[in-house]
This record gives sequence, structure tokens and C-alpha cells, in this order.
Amino acid sequence: MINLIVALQAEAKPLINHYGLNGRATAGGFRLYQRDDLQLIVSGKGKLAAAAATTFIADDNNHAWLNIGLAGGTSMTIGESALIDKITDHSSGQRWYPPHVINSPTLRCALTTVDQPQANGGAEHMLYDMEASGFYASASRFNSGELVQCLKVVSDDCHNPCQSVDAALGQELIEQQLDAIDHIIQQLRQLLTTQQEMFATPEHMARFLAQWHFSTSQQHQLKRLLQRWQALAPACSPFNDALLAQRHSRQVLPLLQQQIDEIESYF
Amino acid sequence: MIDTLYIEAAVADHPRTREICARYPKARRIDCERYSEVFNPAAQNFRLQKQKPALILASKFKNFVLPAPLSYNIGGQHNYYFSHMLNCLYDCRYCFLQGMYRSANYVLFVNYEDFDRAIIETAQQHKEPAYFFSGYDCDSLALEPVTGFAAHALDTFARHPNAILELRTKSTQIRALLDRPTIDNCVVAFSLSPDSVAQALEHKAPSLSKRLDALGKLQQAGWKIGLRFDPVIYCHNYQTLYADFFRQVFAHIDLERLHSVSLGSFRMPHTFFRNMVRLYPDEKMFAAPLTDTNTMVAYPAEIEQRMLSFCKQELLTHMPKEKLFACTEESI
Ligand code: SF4
Repeated sequence: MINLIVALQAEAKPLINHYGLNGRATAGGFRLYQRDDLQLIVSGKGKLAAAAATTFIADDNNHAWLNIGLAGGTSMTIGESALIDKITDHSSGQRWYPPHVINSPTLRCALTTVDQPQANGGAEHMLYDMEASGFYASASRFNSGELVQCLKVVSDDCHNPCQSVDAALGQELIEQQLDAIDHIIQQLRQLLTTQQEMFATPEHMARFLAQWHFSTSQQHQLKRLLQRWQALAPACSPFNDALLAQRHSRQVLPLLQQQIDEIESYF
Repeated sequence: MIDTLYIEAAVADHPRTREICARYPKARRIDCERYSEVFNPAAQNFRLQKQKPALILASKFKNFVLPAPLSYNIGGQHNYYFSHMLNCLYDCRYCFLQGMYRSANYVLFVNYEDFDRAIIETAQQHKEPAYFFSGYDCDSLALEPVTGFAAHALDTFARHPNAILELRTKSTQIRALLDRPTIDNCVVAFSLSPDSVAQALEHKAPSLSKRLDALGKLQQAGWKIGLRFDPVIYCHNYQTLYADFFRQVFAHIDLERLHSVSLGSFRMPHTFFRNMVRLYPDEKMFAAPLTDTNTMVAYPAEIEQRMLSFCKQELLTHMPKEKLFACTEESI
């Protein structure tokens, strides 16, 4: 699943339309939208709201996370977007560095998350928002940083203060970045696929669990044995007569191990 | 291609930082207080990051030189290692770095002079020669065109003959060595594996033939050569595989220039191995019969001994016994 965290309904609207997302009934006071492997939550303004929304949709599965929103700054042109590679929380001074392994022509920039909108344009080469630090601190607890990214669209600078950004302009600015967003989502999907290979349940696991009873620690052993089986003999089934003749999991595991140790492998 | 440079505040104005930045004019530069802010966070995945590692330029503050593990022994009594760099351009599936670090980014410590000082001080503590192993947490030469570290280190060692440098590598980046006079107290040690093993496991590293070609050029230029057959990888055809391989390698070797050969089989601290399996659960090499003592993962003793004694026997048909060393705590 790719989770999109967006602060405002106006920022969410172009994404909902573009991806044909459907509203989902939800508890927790958040608006949630979903279709296929894309899920969008409207968090509300501020880092606490962003962290709460992120935690709200997190579960035990590994998701990719993308925070999309508007930001202010003087060193980029209004309407340009940037992937964020350094996030500083202004009030705590804490810093995060989202690792960049995705290939994207989108610019990159550092960002500071502030509690109040910036009155002036702020420092050079810096964007300002109100959500990213809360989002990143929370989402990076649920998955590796490569799969937790922020994309910000510049909406204001010292000449065009944030008070002048209304819902219509916010919506338009996000709309203009849909190609860049598409590209990043595509790249996150690929990374997620690689990550899923690392966590995949080995083939045959379900049948073993159905056939014999395994304690939790035995299930870990079984998983590793089946991974080994898959690596060494991907075309063969481990369900041979000798194994099927066993009544207890404590007989199955050593026999399976012995059979795996005997598989010949060549370089 | 490196497209991101993280630059630690302490080295932002260091001449080497400037030089390296100039090599990558298009790279995105990100400043950080300490390299560990970028390198150490838990929420990182080595395998994903290996797709596009960044280069972190940093300063090392302590522990420039450390006692080498017992497996690092090529005939000296006093063995040390140092790491001017963490992580490697290559991606060998058996490499402990992927089990030890969460980040695949390269860290380069640009304060080479502090390494020099520590090496000289350590060497001066001994009457006998002291050995210094580079390439413990990285490949000694793979990033040489960018770092210039080997060239720098050779100048230092040239002035201190009581300190012996081992540059351990799979790289063909040997220009810095060929462009300068040889020194007697340096061993260029090539890590080699049979071609099929290298192709299956030593991702992104030069092929065996390219390594042998580089080795030949260095040998011809007068450099002392080391051969590192570590790790030897178990498979059912290991006898023919390694016998043919040793024959192929020694066809390129001038025994006069051969300093040492070391031999060891695959072994890995338990926690590193567990991390490596998490990254690559379907790796064939990790699926081999291995014993796990909860501290160390290795081939079962019987397989290991059989394989090492076969390799030793084969090696001794090509070279003298005095130059053969074990990469274990026991001697050959
Ligand atoms: S060359 Fe050495 S340091 Fe580099 S990945 Fe391979 S084993 Fe690791």
C-alpha cells in the first residue's frame, strides 16, 4: 500500500480526482480515501495532526509513505516542487535525512517544519511547512526511510505570503505536479516490491501450517528452512513421502533440515 | 554514480571536501552536523540503499588504528587495521558490511593526516615491523580516483619502512600505484574467487580476469602481491572448482613477487548473518549447510576442514608453505 498524507482537503482534491480514490467511512476524525494500492488521509494542519494521521493508518504491514503538501520558501519559484532530503523540526531542533534512492527529476531541498506560518521568506535554500517533521518521525517508525518521502510544492515566498494562498490556488499548485507525483509513486511501488521480497512468506508455508501444528518458535525455524528450500530447490516440492509420514512438527523440522542439507548446490 | 553528498560541518571547508565536491558538480549537497545523523538511524535498509548510495564526507575523531582480528595475519607479530572509509562500491553477497551497517552510504573520513599520525605512533611502539591492514570496512582501491587515499598512504609508508601496509582489493583502480615508484613495505592483496563464484556473489566487482590483469600489471611494475582466498565458498563441486581456479591464478603469479597467500572459509558473526539473511532470504549461498553457535555462523567443522585442507594441498602444489596463512585463529 502507498499511503499519501495530505494536510488539507484542497491539497487532497486533485489527488482524489486523479487517482479516482473513493471515500471510506472512518473513525478517528480523519477523512480517508482509497483505491487499489493507494490510500490517502487528510490529516489537518500541523505536525501533531500529521503524526496522528500517520499512526492512524499504520498497521503491521510495510507501506510506502508520501507526504504531499504546500510549503513556503524563497529559493524556488512558486509552483515548483521538491523532494525533501533534510527535515529540521524548528521547535525541537531534531533532524531527519530521508534517504534518496528513487530516481526522480524532481528538485531536492531541505525543509524546516515550523509551528506557525513563516512571516518572511525564511533562510536561503530552505522550504518551510507545518507537517513534515511530525509525519516523518511517525512514518519512519513503521517502515524504512527509503520508503518515507515528502514532496512539497512551493506556494508562497516573501513576495507572496502564505495568507494569499487560498484553497483554489493550493489545489491548482498540486494539480500541476501530478506527473511528478505519479513518477514518485511509481518508484515507491518498485521499492516496496523489493522490500516485499525480503519479507515474503515462503512458498509451501501455508500447507505446512495446515498439515502440522508448529509453535511460534518452530514457525520461525520452518520459515527459514523453507526459504533455504526455495533457494536451493525452487522447482521441487518439499512434500515427499518421508516427510508426509511424520506425525509431529518436532519430527518434521529435523527431517526437513536434513533433506535441505543434502541438496547439492553448484557454482 | 554518486548524486548525493552529505557534508559534515567539521569538514565543510576541508581541502579534500572541496576537491571531491568539485568532482561531482551536479551532486546534491546536504549539510549535516555529524555523519552519524545520516549513517546510523535505525530506519534504513541496506539493500534498498545499495541501489543508490550517497557519499558522506566526515571527520574521524578517535580509534584511527585498532588491533586487527587474529584472522588478519600475514606473517607479522603486530597487526592493526584502520578504516578511512566505511562501505564499499561493490556488493559481495558474503560481505559482513551489509550485516553490520544499516546504511549502504559510503562514509569517507577526509582527515587522512590523523590516520598518518596514529599509524606512525603505533609503528614506533614496536621494534619488529607492524602490519597495517587497510580495506577492512571497504575496498582499499575501489574509490581511489575519488579519495586519493592510497596515494596519500603510500607517501606516508614510504617514510616509515617499519610499518607494512596491506591494500586489500578486488579493484582494477591501480593507476595511483603504477604512477609512482614501488615501496618495499606495501603488499597489494587481491581477493579472488573462482569466476562462477565471483559472478554469482561478487556483484559490481571486476571479473576475475580483470583482477588478474591488474595484479599482473602491478607485479610487473615491481609491487609485492598478496592473494586472499577468503572466503572459500562451499559447493558440491568445490574440488574441481578451486583446483582449476588456483591453477588459473598461479599461471599469472611470479613467486618472487608473491608476498603471502591467505585462506579462509565463509564465517560470520551470528547477528550480522541474521541481518544478511533478512536482506536476501533467497540467497543460495546462505542456504548452504551452516552451523550457528549463536556467536558465529560457519560451515560445519567437518565440511570446513575438508574444504580448507583440500585447498591448502592444492595451493602448496603452486607455492611454498612459508607464504601460506590461515584466516582463522589456527595456523596453516
Ligand atoms: S569488495 Fe570487500 S568490502 Fe567490498 S563488498 Fe566485497 S567483500 Fe565487502
